[in-house]
Amino acid sequence: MNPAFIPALGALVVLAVDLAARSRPSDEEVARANALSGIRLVSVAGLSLLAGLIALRRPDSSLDAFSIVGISFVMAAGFLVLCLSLTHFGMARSRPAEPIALILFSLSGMAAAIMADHLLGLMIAMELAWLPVIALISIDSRRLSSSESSLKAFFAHAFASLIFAHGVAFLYGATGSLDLSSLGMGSTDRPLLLNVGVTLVLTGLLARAVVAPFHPWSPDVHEGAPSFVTIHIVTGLQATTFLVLLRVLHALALGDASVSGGLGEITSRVPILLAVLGTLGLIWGHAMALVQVGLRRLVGWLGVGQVGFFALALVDATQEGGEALLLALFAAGVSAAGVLAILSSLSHHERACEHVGDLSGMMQESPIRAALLALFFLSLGGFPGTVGFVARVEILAALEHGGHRYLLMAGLAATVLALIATGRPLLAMLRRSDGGAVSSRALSNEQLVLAICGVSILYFGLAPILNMGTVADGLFEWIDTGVASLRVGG
Amino acid sequence: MDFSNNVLVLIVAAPAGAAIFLLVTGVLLNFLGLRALPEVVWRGVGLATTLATFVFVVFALVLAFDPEKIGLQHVAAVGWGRGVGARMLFGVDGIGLCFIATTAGLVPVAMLSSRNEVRDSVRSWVVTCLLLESCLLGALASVNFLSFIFFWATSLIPVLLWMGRWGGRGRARAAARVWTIELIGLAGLLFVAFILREASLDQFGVATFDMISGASRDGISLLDVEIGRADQTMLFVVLAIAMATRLPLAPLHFWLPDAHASAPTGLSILLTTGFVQTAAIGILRYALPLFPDAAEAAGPVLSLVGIIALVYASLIALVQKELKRLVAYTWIGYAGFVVFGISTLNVQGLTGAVVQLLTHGVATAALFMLIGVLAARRGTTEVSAFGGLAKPMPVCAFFFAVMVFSLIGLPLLGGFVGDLFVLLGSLETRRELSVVALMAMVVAASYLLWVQRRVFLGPIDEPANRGLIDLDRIERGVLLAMTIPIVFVGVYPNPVLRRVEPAVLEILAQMESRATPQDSPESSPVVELVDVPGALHSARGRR
Repeated sequence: MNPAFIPALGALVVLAVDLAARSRPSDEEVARANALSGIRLVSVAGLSLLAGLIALRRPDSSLDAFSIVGISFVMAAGFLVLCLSLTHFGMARSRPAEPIALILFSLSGMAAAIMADHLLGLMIAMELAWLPVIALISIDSRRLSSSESSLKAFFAHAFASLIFAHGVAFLYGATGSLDLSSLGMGSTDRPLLLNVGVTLVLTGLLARAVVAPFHPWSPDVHEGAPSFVTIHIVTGLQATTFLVLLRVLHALALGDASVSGGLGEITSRVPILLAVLGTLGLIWGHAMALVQVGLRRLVGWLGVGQVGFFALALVDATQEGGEALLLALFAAGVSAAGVLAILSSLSHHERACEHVGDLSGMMQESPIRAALLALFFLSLGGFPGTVGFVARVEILAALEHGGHRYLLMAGLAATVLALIATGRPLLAMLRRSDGGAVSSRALSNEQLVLAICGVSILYFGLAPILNMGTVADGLFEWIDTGVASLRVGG
Repeated sequence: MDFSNNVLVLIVAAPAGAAIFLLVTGVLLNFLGLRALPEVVWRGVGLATTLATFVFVVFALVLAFDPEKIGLQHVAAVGWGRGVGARMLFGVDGIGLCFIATTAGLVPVAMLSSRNEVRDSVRSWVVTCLLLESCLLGALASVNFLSFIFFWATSLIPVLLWMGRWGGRGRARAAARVWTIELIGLAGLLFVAFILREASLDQFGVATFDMISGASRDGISLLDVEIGRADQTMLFVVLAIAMATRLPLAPLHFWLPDAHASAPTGLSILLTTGFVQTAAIGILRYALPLFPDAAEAAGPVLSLVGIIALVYASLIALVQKELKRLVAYTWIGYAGFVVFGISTLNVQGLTGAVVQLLTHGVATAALFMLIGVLAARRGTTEVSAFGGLAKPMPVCAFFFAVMVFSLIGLPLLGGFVGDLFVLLGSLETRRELSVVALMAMVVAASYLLWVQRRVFLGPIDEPANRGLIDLDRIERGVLLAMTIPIVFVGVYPNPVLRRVEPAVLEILAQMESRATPQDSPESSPVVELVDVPGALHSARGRR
């Protein structure tokens, strides 16, 4: 069975289990019932992801190494999301079955998108990945901002889908084919259609990837959506979009620039586009992060800046940039997941930890969480000793190797801005408490997520320099193998 | 090259290991629901660790160091690094030896100085001190550029923690300034690292950041990588600015007065010594040997910048009304003088700069400690609040006088040796500026002597000053321990010079071997003024 179907099947099983076990708790017991039900259903969902991972590793799998790497990453991210979702189900009065099913459907769509070799299949898979998320964003019915964010995300998604679909149509009109693997090597006597088609396809993907200037909705979603949904977006969805972009760019790069009317003529301009948009996102995102007061918006704008780095990695997508991108996706994912998990653990009863100032006194009241939050923020900023630093070094080294020194300087400037922005919450935590926010204890599911993220950030950050590298080397080699499979001809 | 010697690895790792042990112990006690240990236990463990580290440094490193041997000693490597070329490579020459010994010796001093200032979260504070020690020692011992950057950057975290958590008024603003300026320096370091990596990949197909050949599998070091003059200039300027953020050299000094004003005494001590010495190591170990042409060309500019910094800081110090800020500006001025000494690019100038960093660093640190004592006794550090303290606090007055005299360069004290060597070196190459430097030093002497007179001499105008208690036994012991090396270097500087000069000669030799041959008949100052092979031979023959 195709691994992409397994999470979808798991979603159906989750809904069936919920239907079979439906009881009617009293009003006082709703929260507890939701929590217990959530644990049961998350376990079912987890098993389906595990089955998906096992299916990936089967020797008769027809997937290329790149698909295996990408799908493994999104499924691992899915585990984290499901773990953290338990907090929401315990607090809110929403039933857990539908959100869990939506997450699983979305994961199915992501897996299908990563392995897709056909533009139409890719389009459908991306819709399957995104539409459940739009519903998930508005799942916290207690807050108006949740519904607002969902609406903004919907319009952004619709815009991106529209552009992408038009691009696909133009490409078909120009080449008569929608296969990615053959797209790069084809030629046409309608170069204008080809130009427009490629541009629209790439623009649609970049818009979906939150690359500037298509980013304004992203910080709002960070603020309005529940933590586990935000983590789902910044880990799985974002990774999926960039992995798809990487595959498309490799396919386009197979084109021969000397073939008249071929894609090779167009692809020489793509790195320039990515460089400009990436630099724009870098500076814009990190500069805006400097002035944010809200913690979630701060993370959102840092995320916009991170996406700028991803776009810069794609400038040399077919060289070292591909490997650097995958590592950066991993680093950004665990860092953002860690920050959001901490914020989730600080906001159990009321949203008592919304602003940077609310962190005052955290170092005294909850030193372990303060240390972890500091670690996650530093990794988001790219501080040495963290996996975020290793990822940025890889991207910037790839840029320098490709002869893009000005982009290297822009990347370093953005890193300074990012670290200054992340310094504000660190300094706030050091302040003595004036009896403000009440801190609650992290739940066990949150502790698990925090432990996974913390260990990952420290291990993969220090392993290259301390020669602790067996697992780290394995991960890096796995990434290299995956990207190399694209160059072979995907 | 013998890599079986792990002395430096132990020296760097021991404080961090102790810090992790303390953290884990505290977490376990909390988890098991046991009663927390009294704070004296945490302080005792921390102090014991730092003292043990210092003793280990003295016996395993200082006494085992062979001054006759040219090049790095006790070289040790951790890891081979993946593709990026990063790993921990440690080694020590005479300069690094002195810096490591000073830093290791001052960390217990810093802990003892802060014992009355830190009353809460003592375990966290001890962990912070130990982590800072590891980071500083790691930066001083690193001979791989990327691991130097790693330790350079990670030392910021404990500094931020110490200042932000246990500092005085204005600590948040001071910590934010330190964070911002040091990040700019970090960006500069990373830029240089990327360019060097690319150059080594282009020329040898491998990425290396090692500063010694033969240490890596491929036998390539950064000293083998050729860098064109244009790139050298750019990289030298960027690296120099990065180091200037930490020295600090005016106009990048704005963070230091605020930092010292709000930092606890112990942190002030380490900011003036170990923290600053990492910047000096960056210039001496990396900037000069890697970019010799640019260093030579920038020499006059650096001299001018150093003198301007010295003059500027001296004038600003004249109008300071608060003791910590005044001493901070004193340090900024002497940082300019250190840069002036480095810019001479000859043996005397460089040796003088290193000795200055050692002696002036210790003297300034001692002044901060004494000011901390006054602040604790009196509750203020305003100059106007004091006067005639020599009567109630004669021992304090004595130590203050010794440190001031060392700073102004009185003979028989350590500061004189550094000042003398810098001036001797500058007379060879920067004669006009050396006159200006002398005049600025007179200004520095004047305001230091004015402070000495204002605070300790004359009548006691403030009644609150009459009953002040002099230094206790611990404070006297600590200050005596800081005074002894200052007097020792002043009276008998040979042990320090025997170790520093060969390292300086080695740096100059590396510069000469990497310098672009001159077509014109004029030779570079390095070649003209110093017969490097001859100097090396005589340095060996002297013993």
